[in-house]
Amino acid sequence: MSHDSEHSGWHTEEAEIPLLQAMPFSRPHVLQQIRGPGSPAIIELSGESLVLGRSPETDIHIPSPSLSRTHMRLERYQGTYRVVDLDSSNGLYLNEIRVHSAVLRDGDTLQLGNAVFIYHEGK
Amino acid sequence: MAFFVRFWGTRGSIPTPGRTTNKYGGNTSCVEIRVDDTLFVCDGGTGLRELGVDLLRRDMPNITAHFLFSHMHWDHIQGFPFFTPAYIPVNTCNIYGTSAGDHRFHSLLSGQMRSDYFPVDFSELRSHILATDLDNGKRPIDGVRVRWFEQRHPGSSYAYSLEKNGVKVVYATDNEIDLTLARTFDEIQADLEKQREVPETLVEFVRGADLLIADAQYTDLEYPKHIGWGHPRATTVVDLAVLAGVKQLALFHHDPMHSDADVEAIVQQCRARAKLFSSPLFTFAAREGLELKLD
Repeated sequence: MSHDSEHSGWHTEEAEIPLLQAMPFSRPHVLQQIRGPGSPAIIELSGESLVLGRSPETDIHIPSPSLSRTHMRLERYQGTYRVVDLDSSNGLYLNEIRVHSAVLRDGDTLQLGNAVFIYHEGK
Repeated sequence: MAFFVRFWGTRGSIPTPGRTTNKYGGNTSCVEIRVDDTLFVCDGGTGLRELGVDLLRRDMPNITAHFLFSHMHWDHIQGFPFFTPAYIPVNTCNIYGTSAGDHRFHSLLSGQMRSDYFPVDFSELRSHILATDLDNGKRPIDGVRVRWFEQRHPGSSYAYSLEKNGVKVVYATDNEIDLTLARTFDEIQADLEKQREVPETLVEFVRGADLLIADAQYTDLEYPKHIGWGHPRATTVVDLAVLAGVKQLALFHHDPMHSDADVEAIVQQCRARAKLFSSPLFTFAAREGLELKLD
């Protein structure tokens, strides 16, 4: 039996297949603010280190008297973010636990003063 | 002065990497406790490897680590051969025994690095690895009072209490408290909601702790199938914490069969139990990467 490429479904000629653009499968790490001044809000996280606080000079500015001027630092850590309390007055709470620092996981809730965030791990 | 307590390994028995344990972690027992510049390391399970890596990133001219081992079962020592600071000459690892002249842990720790088990011999570790002891709690370490308590576990294990300037942290893993309460299946199943009579000596050892880190491996339902394995019901640990007036209880030594969701369900059961006794105790599950500051 002869092999007839025309009818076999296997095309040997170079086909003009349009190249797909690289699909943006990656998505950023995000803090979703669900309570406090400015909420609701989605804050995309980028960079090695970010400071969140009441001061307008911070990377993530939350204008609430319940937050310290520089309240918390976020730093990149093993593919996610780690949070560190910067000796704030009202503390940093992760899922109700008062922490000094913590490595964030998807779905974690952070509370700083009257501001509440949910962390969504990117890919 | 403050205590910083950071969890590097919270799993019991065997490492459990994977998606279902991602939140609370799969590394076995290792807790870092820093009091000012003094570093204590409670157990050297697989979490110790990452602690070692992290210590080398910190700006320290040399590292002195005071190791307090609960016992020498695999899940509490396997990280030691991978503790990079132990390979660097300027560093010091003090391995404590409990009573005066007790150097058992130093000896057993070196045994796991014989060539039958591991390619690098203990003698090739270049840091100062010193066998020392707590002299029954009479010898403070940099002003920190360290006491120990012998626990119920196959082959025995030790809990440690660290105190300074009114702050107290107790590390108490691998302790089958339930064995001191009841011995038969019927006794264990009887009146699960009744507060259990934890031994007074243990209550006194733990009394007033700002933080109790305690083995809480089994649920009430699981425990009867594991009597004698060396681990308690999580709810019994709550009773201990309530009776001893503990402020915060970190459930520790998570069962390797427990997913993150299982661990969270145990936390809820424990909180409900503390509430049953009208206790202000705060209970949470220890998880890798979590650090508390106590002052």
